[in-house]
Amino acid sequence: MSNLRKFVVVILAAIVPFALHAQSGRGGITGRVTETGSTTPIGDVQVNVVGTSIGTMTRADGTYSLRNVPVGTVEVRALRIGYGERKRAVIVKAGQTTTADLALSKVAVQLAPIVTTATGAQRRSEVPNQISSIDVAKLIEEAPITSVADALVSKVAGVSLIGGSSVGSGSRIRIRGQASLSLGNDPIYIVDGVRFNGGNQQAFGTGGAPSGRLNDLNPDDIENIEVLRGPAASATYGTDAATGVIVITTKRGKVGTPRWNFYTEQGSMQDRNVYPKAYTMWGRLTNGTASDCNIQSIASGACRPDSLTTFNLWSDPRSTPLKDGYRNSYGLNVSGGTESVSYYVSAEGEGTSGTLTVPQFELGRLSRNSVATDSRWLNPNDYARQGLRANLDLKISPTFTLPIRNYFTRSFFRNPQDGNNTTGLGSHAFGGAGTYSRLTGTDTLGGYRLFTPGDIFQQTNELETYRYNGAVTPSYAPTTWLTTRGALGFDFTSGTETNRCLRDQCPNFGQNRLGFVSTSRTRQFQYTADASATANFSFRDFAEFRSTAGFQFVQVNSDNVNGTTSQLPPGGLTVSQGSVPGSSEGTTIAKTAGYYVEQNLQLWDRLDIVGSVRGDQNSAFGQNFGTVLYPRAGVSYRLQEEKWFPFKQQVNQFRVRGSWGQAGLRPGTTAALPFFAANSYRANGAEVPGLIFQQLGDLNLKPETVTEGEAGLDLNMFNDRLTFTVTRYNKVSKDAIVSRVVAPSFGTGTTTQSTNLGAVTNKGWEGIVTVRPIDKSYLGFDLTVNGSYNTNNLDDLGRDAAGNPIPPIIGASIRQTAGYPLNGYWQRKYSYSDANGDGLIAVGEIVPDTNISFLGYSAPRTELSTQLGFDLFNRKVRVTTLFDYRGGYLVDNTTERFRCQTRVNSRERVDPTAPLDRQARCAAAQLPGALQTFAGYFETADFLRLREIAVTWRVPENLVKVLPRMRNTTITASGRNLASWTKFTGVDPETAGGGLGNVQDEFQITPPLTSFVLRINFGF
Amino acid sequence: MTTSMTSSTFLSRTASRAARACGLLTLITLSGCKLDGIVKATDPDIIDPAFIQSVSGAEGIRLGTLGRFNANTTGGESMLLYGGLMGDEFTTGDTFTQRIETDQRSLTPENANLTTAYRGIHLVRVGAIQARDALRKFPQPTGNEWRLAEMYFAEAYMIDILAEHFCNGQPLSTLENFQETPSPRIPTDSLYLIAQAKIDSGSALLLPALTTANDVRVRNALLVLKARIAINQGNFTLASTVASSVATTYAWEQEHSLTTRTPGVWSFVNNQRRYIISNNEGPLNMGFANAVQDPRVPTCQPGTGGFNAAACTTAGFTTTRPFDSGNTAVPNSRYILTWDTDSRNVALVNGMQARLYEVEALNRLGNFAGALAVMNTLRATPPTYVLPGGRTVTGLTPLVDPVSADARRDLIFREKGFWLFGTGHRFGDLRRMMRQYGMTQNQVWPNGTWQISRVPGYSTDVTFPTPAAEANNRLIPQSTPGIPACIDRNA
Repeated sequence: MSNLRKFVVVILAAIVPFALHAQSGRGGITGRVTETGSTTPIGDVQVNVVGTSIGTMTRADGTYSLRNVPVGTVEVRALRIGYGERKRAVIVKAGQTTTADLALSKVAVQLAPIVTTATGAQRRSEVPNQISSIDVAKLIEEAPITSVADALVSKVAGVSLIGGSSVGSGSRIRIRGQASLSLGNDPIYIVDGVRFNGGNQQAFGTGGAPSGRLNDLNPDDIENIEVLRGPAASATYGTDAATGVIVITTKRGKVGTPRWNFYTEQGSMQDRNVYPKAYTMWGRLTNGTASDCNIQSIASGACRPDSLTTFNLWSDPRSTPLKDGYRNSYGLNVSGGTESVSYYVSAEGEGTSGTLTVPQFELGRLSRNSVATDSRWLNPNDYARQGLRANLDLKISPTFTLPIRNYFTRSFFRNPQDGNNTTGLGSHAFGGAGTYSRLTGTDTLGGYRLFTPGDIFQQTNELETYRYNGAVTPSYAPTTWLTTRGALGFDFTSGTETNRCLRDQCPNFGQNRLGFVSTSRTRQFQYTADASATANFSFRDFAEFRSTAGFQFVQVNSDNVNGTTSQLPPGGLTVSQGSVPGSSEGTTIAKTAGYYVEQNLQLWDRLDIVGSVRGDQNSAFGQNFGTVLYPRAGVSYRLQEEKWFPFKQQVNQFRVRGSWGQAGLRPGTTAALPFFAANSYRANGAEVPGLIFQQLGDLNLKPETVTEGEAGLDLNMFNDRLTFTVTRYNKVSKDAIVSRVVAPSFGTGTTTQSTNLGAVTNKGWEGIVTVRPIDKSYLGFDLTVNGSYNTNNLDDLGRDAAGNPIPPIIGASIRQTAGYPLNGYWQRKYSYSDANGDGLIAVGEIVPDTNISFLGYSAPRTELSTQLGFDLFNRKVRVTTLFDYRGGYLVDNTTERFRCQTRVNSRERVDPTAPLDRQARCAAAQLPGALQTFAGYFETADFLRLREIAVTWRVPENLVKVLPRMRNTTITASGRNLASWTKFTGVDPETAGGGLGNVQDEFQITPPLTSFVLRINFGF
Repeated sequence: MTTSMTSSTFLSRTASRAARACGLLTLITLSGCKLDGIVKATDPDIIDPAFIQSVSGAEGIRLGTLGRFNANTTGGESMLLYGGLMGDEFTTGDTFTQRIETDQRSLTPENANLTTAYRGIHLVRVGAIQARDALRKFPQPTGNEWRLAEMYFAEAYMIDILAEHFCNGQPLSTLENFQETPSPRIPTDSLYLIAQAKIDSGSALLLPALTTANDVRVRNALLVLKARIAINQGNFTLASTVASSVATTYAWEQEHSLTTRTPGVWSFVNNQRRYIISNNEGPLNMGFANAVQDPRVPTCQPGTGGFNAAACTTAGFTTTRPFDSGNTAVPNSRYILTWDTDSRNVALVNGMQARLYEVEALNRLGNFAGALAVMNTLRATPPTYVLPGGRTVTGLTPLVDPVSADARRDLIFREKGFWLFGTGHRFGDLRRMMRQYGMTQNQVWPNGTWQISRVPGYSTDVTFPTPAAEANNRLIPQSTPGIPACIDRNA
């Protein structure tokens, strides 16, 4: 019998006796939940009987019904976001229904009172961790939210997000710093209880950002997002959860008549960045030959300058590759149903065009050469998505619910070579001469370096994705004290990415103009199976026990088949039409199976103690390694419930909490295995297959275990008009998997070996303050400040088999050195002086340090966001602004370094009047190799950004109801990325270079865009 | 809790529930303990060593090693290109820092391209050892000896390349049962001795038979290599003796194609435009891309008025755009015609090399007349493999004796430089001019004003440093943490 079958048998054997337990002496409770001091009903209130599994949600009219309630005195608790918790004792009599109405008071704090954990939903105040919640349904009404990333950015302390610059591109999310040296640091995503592929996808490099699978979700379908920051909270999610868990819950049907909602967004995408000018100094060599001069050749006397010209192709109407993009979306959803069947069904379509296009001067060239312009060249960055969701909630019986989630989406992403690749836009737009009129052949380059956008955008990279997510999450409560839950989920993604240059198109590099096409067909399957049982029971009137046990299985299969060809015939489009075919295939399989038990104890309704352990096995662990255990423990103490607690009138909550836990990160799927790979070469006129030893492997490889402790304080005062939360965390990654460099002399194909050697620490503070100083019915003002500070340290790189320390992992400018942060920047510092007083800093006037030294962090240490909200005109109008600050880190301004070093078109390289410090950093970059230093280009990147501003008008009812059946209308005008303040000398410190990997740089790529969106929402 | 419930009833029920719940948790926990079967996964992308313990598996490892050997003249940047970049064969055609610092003779141990090329050497060397082990364990029904000998050749060739290019003190680590077996630094002289011993081992396998074409092919490869190493060792007598037994027509060719791997020089000069053929870079004034064309390194420049433009048209080279790096010392759009298509062979080891080793040996042994005769024979009847594809070098006139010893030396190295352009010989020769002929660094290596920036840019490297990655070999001392120390970096 397989282990899985054994497990099912055990579960059934354990549950059935309980289910058969005689149920006698039952009654019911009904009631209505309203706002305090009025008769306004409140829907969607979670009402449950304390200490049991009995619970329900209120209907739109505020009413609720609870059945099978044990006779006697029970406590009914009501919870809803935006309202204070309310409990009430109710006497239930056998065979009778007792009425219990509840009145809830509005509170300023907007945190959901219920949070989702791996072992089920729990009251936030019982959970010993800080779990952040984002009420997406509400956020969309008052902020420019067009993607999940938009909903996350700057909303949660400790969550750092950087997005790609092109429309439809993905994002990089880091929670509480970078925990792993060598593995991915992305969080995992759980959508409606099952694993979801939220990563980025790109088969063919464009030099820019990849597409993001997180974009597949429609933000309008999301009810809320919860963020579990680290192992102290996520231990029960086990392997893969060490870098945090993002739990997304989509909307459920609301009982009642169908409530329709139609919305549309119309907007503009703009590139409002200020790009650098190109400089050219015209002059002559000493022999009289006309030549471009620069500061070095002028200083050495090799070149005599004549005149300086500048040109900014980004802002010149003839040359600019920029246009305004357009965003539009249309969505319709309906929610309704009965107690037995409720539904939420939605459909949405969106399309966004990017800001790149073929410049005017190129249109002229193409026309002169009789080249018909393709619409894809004019819109080289384009994104579209259509989604269809059907969420059903079936209540088979009072004790058995069956939520079913279905989501189908199709997306399309086109992105050009927009970055620093040899034929990428950035390589040429940032590198041209300081003049419009420099020629290539008989055509102007328009200020570009070698290749121009008319050719660059002829290379198209298009990814079309079809995706289905389905989840069934049954819940069965056979008794009042036992609940069993299950989750079966399937996330399937099928993508076809095609990278193509037709014959006689694209930049004349290599054999590109002979034509080529590459196509990658990728499939990913994620399966989730989860089963658990929770037992609740009370001891006297002071202790509540909650015991949970469960089993989880997650499998991720990916496969891809790539076909390539070059040398297409005229008109040829497909792989089969080229004359030089090639193909490749790849498969990855990752399986995780785990079991977990969790015990909660609540004392006097104020002290919660939780302990849990999860055991995991994973297909990527080495064969010599068995099951890993992830323990967790935590305490939450609500002091305000104590009789002795002073200031009860002023303090609504005073909670201290602390927790400790472990979670893991699995190694690469084949990292543990020694293996050979195939290669081929040409011999005797034919291709010959051979075998090469590829990888050492490590049979003892185990997961990277991250241990985290956190402690914090939650304080709510003045009817929750002031809330304050502070958390201190300390996260240590022991047995950190280090991609240990294998010395080349061992002759292995794979250049690194994954092995458990290192230790990484992240520690820091997180805090949130929310105040609502003005909270009148006609006027309101609220302020939320959200901040975090992180310190990262590579404690140890470990030792080799002989006990010798593993040497630092040295890259060109990034080093992994024990005692310093991961991915820190290292360069040789330098000093300079204008020794000869000629106003020019020559290379010889630079004095580089003897040693290479640490310069700084490559990731922000400090993040601070401030949201201001104003409710005006009897709260019919709400204005919100979000300011975002990041600091304590450096960004590699490679764009400017390249403009100095190799493009010779930056002011500091060309213009003798450039400031000396700028000349110096440029001169230092021109020192001969071993002495060369780019230290001046690793710049402090601290910035303050006006991230969002939005104005929402809730149209008055008397206007809305002019139209029949109309229920409500809101209109929101919003803008994103509107202004920034920084001393960074590049275009934007938030530019997402580096392919959204662990290290961000600015390297000839366009920065984030500005968007303006008008959203109109009709409810009927 | 019901108010009517007595304490004893409550305690009883609670205890009962607690006991059952605990039992449930225990059962679940125990049932979940053995999860290995559930998570078992087999990845089809990898080849398990256990599956290739066979005769065909051994042959596969040999072919894989030759595939890696082939990679040295293809695709990526092997020492054949990289040595030429630091020497006077190429200048950088693009703006990558790694190539710039190499061209400037100022290498950092972190240089990623250097590391890749260094790995390429050891991939072949260790692969050859693995292949020999496999062939001994699972001998081929016929021809096992020449296969073993060929692997000795591959290993020795790479040890020689390592010794010729890198600083004094290089490791020869191995893998035993797929586990690292580190090697300490080995002095350059010792590397040559080891390489010679490998060659002798290979030759000994062939000597009893030497009957098949493969026996002869491998035997000649071993002899040419032995002569080359003997030259490096300064053993000119041995070099002359060994080289004389190889016919000029012999060639051990690396084959290429667009579907697998293209010739490295074609790829980097003609296709990707990352390397420029040098023109008088350095004091030896090797005009590889000179307007006065040497037919052994044919080049062309497309477009009206371009040098040898018709040949460019024939070869399909039409791009006249400049190289990224902006080297104005070379006509910007110059293409090399030696490897004019993506499928030309490279005669990596050949009889002409044997002749040239003979030439140098004869001169060093006091017989310049004999050396001159050999050189003029080559000029009069150039081997066909110099220009692959059935093309022949023409137009070379006989050389005359320049009389002085220095001029004779320069003439020999010049001839060798043109005949062996782009095949990985030049770097070792530049070092030997210093080491064996007493020339100064500035008489040999490019120095002073770098052609591209027109400001002083060349540094003083005459060897490649051991790449930083080798610091992970625990027997290699480190000069600073993470940076391997050479014994010395002398020529």
